[in-house]
Order: sequence, then C-alpha cells, then structure tokens
Amino acid sequence: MDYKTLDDTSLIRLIAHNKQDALGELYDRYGRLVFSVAFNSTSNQAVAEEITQDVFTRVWEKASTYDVDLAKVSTWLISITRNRAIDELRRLRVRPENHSVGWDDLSRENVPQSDGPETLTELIWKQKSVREAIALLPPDQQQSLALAYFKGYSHSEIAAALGEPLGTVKTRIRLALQKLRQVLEEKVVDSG
Amino acid sequence: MSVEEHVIEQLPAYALGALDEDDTLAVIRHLNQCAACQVELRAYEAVANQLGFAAPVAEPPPHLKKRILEHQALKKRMPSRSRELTHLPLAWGLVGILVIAILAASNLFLWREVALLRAEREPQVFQTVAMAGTELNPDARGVIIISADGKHGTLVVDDLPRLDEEHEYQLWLIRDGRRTSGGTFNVGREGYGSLWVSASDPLDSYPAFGVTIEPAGGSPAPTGEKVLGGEF
Repeated sequence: MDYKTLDDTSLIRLIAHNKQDALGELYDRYGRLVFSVAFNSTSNQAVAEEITQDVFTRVWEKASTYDVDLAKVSTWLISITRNRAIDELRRLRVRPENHSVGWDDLSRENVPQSDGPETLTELIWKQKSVREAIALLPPDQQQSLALAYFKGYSHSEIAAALGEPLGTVKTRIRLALQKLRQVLEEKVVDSG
Repeated sequence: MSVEEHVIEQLPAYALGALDEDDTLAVIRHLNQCAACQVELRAYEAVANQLGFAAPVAEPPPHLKKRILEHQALKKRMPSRSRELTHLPLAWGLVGILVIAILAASNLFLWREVALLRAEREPQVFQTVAMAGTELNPDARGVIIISADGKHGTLVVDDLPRLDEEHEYQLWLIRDGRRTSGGTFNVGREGYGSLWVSASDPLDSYPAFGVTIEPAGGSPAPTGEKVLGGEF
C-alpha cells in the first residue's frame, strides 16, 4: 500500500489498526511541524525530541479515539504538542533567560516532506495563511502572542516578563486574536 | 457574574490559556450559563489552534523518526506475546495464575498495612490525600497516595462516570493559585481509574489537588467542570 497517497484521516485509521508504516508516513508529513512547535516552546533540542516522541506515541495509542468532526489531524497534533510542551515547561519550571521567542520566521514555510498532493497543498496553504495573518500584527502584539502561545504565559506573566503594564498586555492579546480571527475567517482557513 | 455581563473581551485570552486564575474562573462561570459566549469562544479557539502552523521552523534530527517507530514497535509486540501464552502447556498457565494470585494477595496485604499505619499514626511510609466529589458527582471519591519522599504518587478514583473519547479527566496540582497538570486519565466502565503522578517539585509541596473534565489530551489550564477536590 502506498501510504503517501492516503489522506490524514485514513492514515489515522490505519494507525488505529497497528499499521506502523502509516505512523511513519504521518511523521513524514507532520514530524517537522510537531518538532517546531515543541522546540519553539521549550528552546531545548532534547526536550523537543522527547515531546515529539510523546506526541506520536499518543497518536499511536489514541488513534482509535480520533474524531474527524472535532479537529483536523494537523490541528489535533498541534494541540497535543502545545499542551504537552507547556506542561513540560511548568513541570521543569523553565523560563527563558530572555523573551526573544517570536514569529521571526514568517517568511519561511514548514513544508511537509510527503508528496501527498492534497495534504501538501492544504498544509502549505494553512501555514501561509496563518503566517500572513500574524505578519499583519504590530510587533508588540506578535511578541505577547508568542509568549502566550509558545510559553503558556498568562497576562500577568507576560506583563512581568516584558515590563509592561498589565492592561497593555491584555489589550495586545485581545486585539491580536481579534485581528487574526477577522483575517483568517476572511481567508476561510479551515478552523477544524 | 451574571449572564448580562458577557465576557466577550476576555474570550481571546481564555482561548489562548493566557488569563490569570481569577479571570479564568469568572469566564468559566459565565460560559457555563451563556450559549452566546460559548459560540464566540469556539471561534477564538479555532484561531488559537492554528497558531502552531506559524511556528518558526526547527528541523528534527534524522534519527528521531527511527527512534519513534522503534518505540512503537516495542509496544506493539506486547499483545502478540500475550497471545503466545495461550499456546503454553496448561501447567504453565496454572503456575501463572498462582503467581498472579500471590501478587494480588501481597498487594492487598500492603494496602492493609498502609491503612493500619495511618490509623495508628505511626511514622508514615506513605502520605495520602483524600479527594471528594463535587456537586457534579457527589458519590465520586479518590485518593492520592504519595511516596515518603514526595517524588511519586498514584491517584486512584472510583465512581466517576466514564467519559467519551473526546474527553479525559485531568489532575491539577495546586499551589499559590497556580495549577500544574498532573496528567490525564479516564475510568473504566465501573468508574474506577488510576494515574501515576510525578512533578518536578515534591507532590507534598502542593497543598491542594483537583480533577476536571478536559478535552482529550488535556488542557494547559483547567477549562472544564471540577469533579474531585482534596487538600492536605
């Protein structure tokens, strides 16, 4: 069976039936994306590798529970990765020495390595849409958003980290999400 | 907070998990009774869930895929080993059953020993935290058994309803108003379940614990109904 031609949902179904090659194909498609989210959260290569392994282990174990109506496979993977990474940060009480985390790579694309045409096109389109939307935000909103998303910081933690008033940070986060919502809905990005 | 006082302006940060604790609780209380804000929240959650697509690129090492697949392969072999057991001679099967019975009896003995030690207020080998059900499931109960050095623990729960596949229970370790995830779990049909718990800090440094219902995979901060709570 040529797994590269299958869509993500079919891969998950095969994984639920212990098809290890299907997990390999899913990794080829999203391994880099998962690792990127983990690495940008933890800033630690070894921890990011561990989290990536945990995410695909979880997919292996929980594939039978996946519900396509609730989330696309890609957003499911991102959600698991982010939750796992923030848990790890809190467990390790890791705080970056500086607050340089950001979206500083908006011009590049996390292109998957699979040649599955539909998956490739959809993923590239999503990445392009979200990157373009974030690029529209002022730098201070991008920075606060990155600390909230990648580091799991709360309003008050962001305010303390940046030395900004709490109200300013709250406004930045609110405006950033409102703008992204508006732009992404206009782009009709699949919100699954 | 009344239904009239909507929390629209706080929903973006709530969807990101960026609200501080007091604000989070206020939003949760409001969401529980406001369908309009629930709809708004879903829209912001959809946005938040896509942010990872814009993560700056980081290349995983070439060996990682092999490591992951080999890790799964080891797990996969386990069921086939158990199937092989059915072909063993009957005598070996009986020996296995005997060993299991001995282990079960010794386990029961150890549990009784722990209970006796607590009752007699002798120096504790384990520490325990009793957890009680909330209004949602008043009959539910649980206990966290923590090792003497506080590094490890086990949560055991009973009489909790089995959740659907989209949800899991999540244990929270609570200290200074911050909630740290202790892991996710589900229960069997009988409502019984367990979870191995560890944290970077000793578990007995957390004065309180809670269990909430969260989306499968867990949440960065509590978002669902609390079903169990307990304090040292």
